[in-house]
Amino acid sequence: MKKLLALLLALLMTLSLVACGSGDAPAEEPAEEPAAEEPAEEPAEEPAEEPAGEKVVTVSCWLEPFPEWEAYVLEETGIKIEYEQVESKNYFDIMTTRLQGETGSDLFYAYNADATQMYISAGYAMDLSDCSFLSNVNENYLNAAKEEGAGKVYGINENISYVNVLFYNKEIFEENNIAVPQNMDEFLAVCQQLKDLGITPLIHGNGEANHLKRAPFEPICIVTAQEGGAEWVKGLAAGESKFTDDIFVKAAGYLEQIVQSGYLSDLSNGITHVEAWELFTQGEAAMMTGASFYADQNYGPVTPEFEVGVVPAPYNYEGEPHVLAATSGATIMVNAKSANVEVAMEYMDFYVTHWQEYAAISGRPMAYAGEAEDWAPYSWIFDECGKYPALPYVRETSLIQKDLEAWTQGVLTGGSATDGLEDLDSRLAAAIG
Amino acid sequence: MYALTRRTRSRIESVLYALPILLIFVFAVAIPLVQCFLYSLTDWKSINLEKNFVGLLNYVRVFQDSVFLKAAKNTLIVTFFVSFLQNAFSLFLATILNQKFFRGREIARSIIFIPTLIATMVLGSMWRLLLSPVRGPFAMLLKALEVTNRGDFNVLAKESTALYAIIFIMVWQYVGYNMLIYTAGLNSVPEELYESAKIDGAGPIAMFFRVTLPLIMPSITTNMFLNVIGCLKCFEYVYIVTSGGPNHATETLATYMYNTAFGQGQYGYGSAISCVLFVVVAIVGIVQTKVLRSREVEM
Repeated sequence: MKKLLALLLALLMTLSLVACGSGDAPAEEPAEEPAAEEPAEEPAEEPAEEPAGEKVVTVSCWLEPFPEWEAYVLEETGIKIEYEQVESKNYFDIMTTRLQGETGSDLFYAYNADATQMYISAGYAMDLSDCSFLSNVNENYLNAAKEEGAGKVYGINENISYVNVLFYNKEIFEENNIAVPQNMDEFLAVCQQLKDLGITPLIHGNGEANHLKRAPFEPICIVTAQEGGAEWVKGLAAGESKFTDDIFVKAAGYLEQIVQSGYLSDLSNGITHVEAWELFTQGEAAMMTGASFYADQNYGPVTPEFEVGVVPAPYNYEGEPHVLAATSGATIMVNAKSANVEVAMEYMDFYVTHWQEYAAISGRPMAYAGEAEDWAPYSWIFDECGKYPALPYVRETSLIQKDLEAWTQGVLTGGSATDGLEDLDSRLAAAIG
Repeated sequence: MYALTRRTRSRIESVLYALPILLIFVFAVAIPLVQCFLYSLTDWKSINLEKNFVGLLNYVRVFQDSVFLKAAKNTLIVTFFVSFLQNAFSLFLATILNQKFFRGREIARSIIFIPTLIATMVLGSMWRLLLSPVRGPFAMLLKALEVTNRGDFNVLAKESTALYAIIFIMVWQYVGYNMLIYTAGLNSVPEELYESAKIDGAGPIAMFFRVTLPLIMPSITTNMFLNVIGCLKCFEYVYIVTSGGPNHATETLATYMYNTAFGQGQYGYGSAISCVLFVVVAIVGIVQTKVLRSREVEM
């Protein structure tokens, strides 16, 4: 009897395993059956739950949901946005898997030019070139989502450029009568001045990949904007540029100088941006690097009486304008395999004509009281953002992103900036194939 | 009616009993393994579905890859230290806690075993927080003591210390698991053997090396096998605590394989690394078991 029971159990397990393996099959077969067996009235009841004619569009992104915008869209267009916030750390993997499995949302975002190009080349993004609403979009925002080497447009960039910023502790600067640096030379001089006073000049959260990978490219902005670095960045994808080229060595040299001179807090490594902010507002360092989009993220000072100042990061030569970070940000795309393309396109039409306007009207939450005043003298930079040509982020570095991060960690923990550059070149060449 | 012979019936039964696990093995292990090997012969990368056959090029690249060699070295260091320390500590604890004079030994065993029961992800995050140079209790203490060079104590961010911090955490979590296996082994040694050894004039140390150790060899084999194999494919702690950094200082073969395939989208090359890892684990496992089994003593 025991034997028989065990055998039945084994058979049951086998059958359930077989059933699990053929999970897709029942989805197709019953589609026809209900029409023959079920009364015609029954399926008609289902849509009754949703108001007839309600249009729904699904959107996936790593950013926080924006309920005000969703309500605004619903009110103006009748389109209901079903927004899904996908974990940012694994956003690319999750979205890619869904798109491959044809279960992606109607609209999705790419987080940089590199990802944008990969979605385009894999055929996941819909060609928008013939859409009339594109005439309302600044050419530079479209360039960021064009297929490389072709003129077709596959998406719309939301924030083409951002500005690297330098947060500074107002109290320390005022007490020691230190002028806020306006260019690279002044920045390095201020760092030395602070160090001589026994104050740690700078802190940066290097523990997170998205902050770490920017570390070498923040100083490179100076070279990028003013010494033809844009061409160098583009040349990486074609294998024409190398990390051992003078232009990158020079930019990396700034990073090395900041670390080797003892300007960067030794607590920077392994901590998150938020932790760095916490230490900064506790007075651990006089300055902290960041970017203009942090103004959206509502970091409040940990200590209420802490007074923070902010200026565009002085990654520019004396007499030259401040430098925009040479990267495109979030790009919205329509899923080419979506069964809901019509509504998705209708939403895109509304989006391109209203998003920038809406974002400007609603304003952005400020990181601290008085930030708007601090930024007032630099508002021209934001106005200029759309005029700057979109520069692809270091194309193909996704294929060596971890290697680049490791090299950066090496420099940030006291290694030489020139160590490992040849290795980076060979790894990029091997990755591109 | 055709009657099955007893032998045939027994054979059919055996196959039916084994069928569920065979199906699991085929679909969850064998087919993915073959697929992985086939992918390793392609240049599949990023999200492109196109895969071009490149022969053994990825395997040539594996052995020329400085980071792979660094990851292999780190994996060996982790394997050596964790296997040695974990076995030494767990055997020591099992022996101490097996002494009858030790009061509260059941409670002590339970406390030591608790970390084994907690998910590695949870413990990894916990240690990351404990060792955080900002919010960790050690950092708070250093700050309270007004230590100026607190960065020197940032063990997870320093190339020279990060790997050893990972080793410490791994030993800490699994020492209880090994201890339990050793305890079972120690309890299986007949009391009479100790009594006759005592009559022969053996002291506690001689008894341990001449009686206990040879008789708990099967436990050592089991523990060493589990430790070595576990360390060779060590992934979770490295991924959660340091992600292989800083500068590949804690990169292991498993994290390098993951980072290459899923972090950088080089699926073909990542598959080649995983195939190499599979071969290494298989060879080490077989050799180790044979060597240790030959030292076991039959009672």
